Parts: sequence; C-alpha cells; structure tokens
Amino acid sequence: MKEVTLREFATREERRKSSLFKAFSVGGFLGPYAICFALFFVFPLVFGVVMALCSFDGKTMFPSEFVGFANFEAVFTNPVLAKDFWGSVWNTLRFALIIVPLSILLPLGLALLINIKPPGYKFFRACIYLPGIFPLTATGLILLKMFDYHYGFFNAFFGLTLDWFGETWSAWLLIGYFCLWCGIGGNFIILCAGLENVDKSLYEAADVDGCGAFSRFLHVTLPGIKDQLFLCLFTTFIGYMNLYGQVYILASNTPDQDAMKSAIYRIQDMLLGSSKGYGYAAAMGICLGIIIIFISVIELIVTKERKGGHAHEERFVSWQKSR
Amino acid sequence: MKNGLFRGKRAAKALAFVALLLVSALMLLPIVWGVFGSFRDYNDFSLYPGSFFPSDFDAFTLDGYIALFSKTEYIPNAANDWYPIWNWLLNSLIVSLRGSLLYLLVASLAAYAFVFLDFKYSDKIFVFLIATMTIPGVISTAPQLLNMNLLGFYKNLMGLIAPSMGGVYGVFLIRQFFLGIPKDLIENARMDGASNFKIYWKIVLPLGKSALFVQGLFGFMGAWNDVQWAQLIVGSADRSLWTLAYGLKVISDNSEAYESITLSLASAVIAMIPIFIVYLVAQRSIIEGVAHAGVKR
Repeated sequence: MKEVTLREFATREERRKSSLFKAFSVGGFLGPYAICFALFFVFPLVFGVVMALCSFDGKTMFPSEFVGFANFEAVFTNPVLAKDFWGSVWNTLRFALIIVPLSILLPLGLALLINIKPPGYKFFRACIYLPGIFPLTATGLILLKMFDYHYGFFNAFFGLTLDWFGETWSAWLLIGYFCLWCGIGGNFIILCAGLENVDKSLYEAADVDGCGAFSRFLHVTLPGIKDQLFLCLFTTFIGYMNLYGQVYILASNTPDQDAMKSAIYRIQDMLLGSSKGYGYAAAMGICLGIIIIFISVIELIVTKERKGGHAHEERFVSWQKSR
Repeated sequence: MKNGLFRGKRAAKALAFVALLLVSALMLLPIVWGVFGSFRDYNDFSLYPGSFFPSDFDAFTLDGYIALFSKTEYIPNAANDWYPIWNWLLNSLIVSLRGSLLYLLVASLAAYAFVFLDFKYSDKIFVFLIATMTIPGVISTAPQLLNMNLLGFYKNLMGLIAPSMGGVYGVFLIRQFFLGIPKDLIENARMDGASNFKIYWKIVLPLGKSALFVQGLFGFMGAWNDVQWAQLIVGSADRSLWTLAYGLKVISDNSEAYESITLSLASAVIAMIPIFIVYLVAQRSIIEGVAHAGVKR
C-alpha cells in the first residue's frame, strides 16, 4: 500500500518537474523569436496606429500630441497632401494593372519553353533568373547609362534622340522594362516548377483523346499550375503596390515628379523629411495597406474555385444512383 | 505516325532552344554591356557610344576601379566627392551576414519548438503567425523607423539587421523542413538522455542544413540588395555608414558628367560580384528554394 503511494507520488512529482522543465525549454527555444516578433513586428504595427492618430512637432522624432483622426482627414481633404498621395496611389495602381499581367504571362511563356526541355534548358533557366538577384541600384545604374541621352548605347545604336528619363511616358516605359527584366525571375522559377509537377499521364490521356496543343494547354496545363498562378498573382500584385526602388533609381531626375511618384515613394519622402510629416506618413501607410488588403480580397473572391459545377455533378451522380 | 510525332517534338525543341537563346541573350545584354563598360575609357564612350564593346584595345582601362578604391581624383570638378567604397562593402557584408545568421539561429530555435516540443496551443500560435503574413508591410514602415530610434538603432547598422529578425516566413520554411525529420529519431535521442539543446544542435540542425542554407541565402541576398530601408536608417548618417546598394544610388546621382560613366559602371560591377559569386556557388539551391516555395504550399 505504502509502496504504491510512494510510486504515485514519485510519478506525480516527476511529471510536475518535467512539465516545469518543458515550459522552461519551450521558453528557451521560442523565447528569442517571441521577443523579436513582439519587438520588431507587433509593436510597430500597434505603434503605427498610435502614430497615425498623433501630430509631430518636427523637433523630435516622437509624437507630441494626440489629434484623433486629423491626419486621416488631412490625407483625404488637404488639397496638397490629398492630391499628392492619391495621385501617387493612382500612378501605382495604373502601373500595377499593366505590369502584373505581363509579369505573369511573360514568365509563363518562358516556363512553357523551358518545359519543352531543349538542350541546355538548365543554363537558360539560370540566365533568365540572373538579373533579378542583383541589387536594383546596380542593374538600374547600368540601365541609366545604357539609355543615357547623350552617350547611351541605345540611342546611339538605333540613331534615336530621345531623352528617355526626361519624358514621363518613356520613363514609365523604362521602369516597366526594368521591372520585367529584373522582376520576372521568381515567378518564372515558380511556374517552371509548377509545370514540372503537372501529372504527365494527363497529357497522354489528352493525346489519346485527340486534343490539340491549344486545348491541351487550356484543359490540362492551366488547371495543373493553377496554384502557382494564384501565388504569382497575389505576390506580384502586392510587390508592385510596394513599388519604390525601380522608380527611385530611374526617375528621380525626371522633371514631372508628380507623374512619377509611386505611393511608397511619397511615404518615403515624408519619412525622409521633417518629423512633422510622420503622422501623415503613418496614416498614408494604413490607407495603402487597406487598399492592398481590399484588392487582394477581391482577387481572392474572383479566383476562388467555383464549386458549382462539381456540386451539380455529384448530386447528379447520387440522383442517378438512387433511381 | 510515331515518326511524325517524334519529328514534331524535335522541331519544338529546336524552336524552344532558339527562342530561349534569344531571351537569355536579351536578359544578359545590359549586364555584359555594363561589365565591359566598367573597363572602358570614358572618351571611348563619347566617341563611339554606339559600339557595344570598347572600340579598340587601347580603350580598355582600370581607371574606374582605381578611382573607386583610392581617393584619387577622377572627375576634375568633383574633387571632394570620393566614395568610401571599402566601408560600404564591409557594411553590406556585416549587415547581410550577421542579419542572415542571427535570423537563422532565432528562427530555427523557434521552428524546433514548434515541431519537436509539443506544447499547448503550439498549432494555434503557428496559425496566428502565418495569418500575420497577410498584413501589408507598408503599415509598419513609419513606426518601425521610430522603433529603431527608440532602441538606439537609428543611423546604426543594427537598424538594418533588427527588423528582419521578426520575420515569419523563415520560421515557416524551416518548420516545413523540420516536419520531414522522423520523430523516432528525436524520441530515441531523448530516451538516451540527450537534452533538447543537444538534439537541436547535433541532430536537427545537421539534418536541416539544406533548408537553413536556402533561408540563409535569401536573407543574405535580401539584405545585400535592400535600398529603401537603408535610405531611411543610414541615408542621413555619415557616408561611411552607408551600405553598398544605397551608396550606388548616390554615385549614380553624381554621375551626370560623362566622365563619370566608367566609375559608376565599375561601382555597379563591384556591387554585383559578391551576389554573383553566391549565385555561382548556390545556383541550384536558390532555384530549388524558389521553386519549393511555389509548389509545396
């Protein structure tokens, strides 16, 4: 009898000690990351809301007074601020609308070529991914010099006299070229991997059924890489809503700055200036964040799988069975 | 019939080969031009701007690199404008290496806790972490700047390292890999009386090498290439505190004069070399890492 209680006691004690020990080790392993996450992710996020509700006196970097929604009001109604910010948001959106489809279709085409597996395809894959790994300032600097008005290779070679970075439209054109040149690598590799993983037997089945190349692409390939296409759509869109580096490098000397600034560029300008603008910058950040979330949700709804067809099919099968 | 199909396939391969050759050439063209340009005398640029390569052998020069790495006056009218490129290289290396290694340590410890220490609510906490990835980063740009100031990291290289420490994606990636490690292995080691830290250090880390390597590569490249955050944190500090990627922007701003073209292309090449070496060594891991992120989700 006594022995049993001792054993019970011992196991209970052991368990208690081990659970304490466990909590300790969980703390030890998770602790450093938990601190970092709280300090560098959660805190700024919460503090951002506080900042957006405060005004700054321009003397220190810290909020001086609580002003409620005045900053948001200014972002929407202040003639200069609202025009600058929403103009830049419009610039960004317009650009994203053009560049996002291109940044998915172009790599898709290239990935299809890679998937044919011509000799040396691994080398080509590495070449196409290459420009994107370099600092944007380095590749951008090369573009700046290549398209230089006086001494650039491009103008001289093709006999043009176009000031590429002086005109708004040509500057945006070059920014688009820059984004494609250095930005499609990731999508390209993801789509290559997606194509690689499409079930080969489906292609054979399509061949047996006498599918043409186009209908095979439409009915086998596209559904097979659906997940990768959606992933590319979301990440690319969010990436280009955050457009900054490319514009900053190529177009910071373009005369019509209002037509060149992206939304992040405006916020960055605010943050580089006097701290008086910090409250506005935080409010603009929240506005832009909400826009990004809003459009992402729309994308999610539009691209969501339509279960309708399958549901009807299933019900039809069960209805047939029940007859 | 079969022969015809075979021939069709061969034609498709040949066509794809030609198309990819053209695209690859287009992708590499500006880089090749830039690399050759960095060795080309600036007078040659102004005399023969339409020539892709230096127009003759005498036009080759190392002046751009010499001017970049020494305090030699290169551009006659901008004598005061020298670039502390050694500092920039060192700063970029410190930020990229220290940042990626520190994050690997922190993130792999956390991933170990999520996978091998089944504590209460671990799944829920992890789902919460994943959910936070959908919050747009723009919202925290401004407050993060003040946060860095609060911690004394403003105008300090630590300010470039710290923000990436809170990242979720690395924990997610490393956790995915750790999930593939057989649980029996860990249990056996526990039975033999190995402590958690010993298991982490001696078993899990060596097994998870490839995932850590990929995450480390992305961390390194991200930090090396960053311009936006560097501009905010060290852009208003002394030049010697800048990183190479940010310094390049200032070189390009100062390079309106045609004499500076060789120097600025040389600086671009210097900034690309370390990343290019990383790519040469780890090209397969990088491409597989990106592909993995897209397929196994």
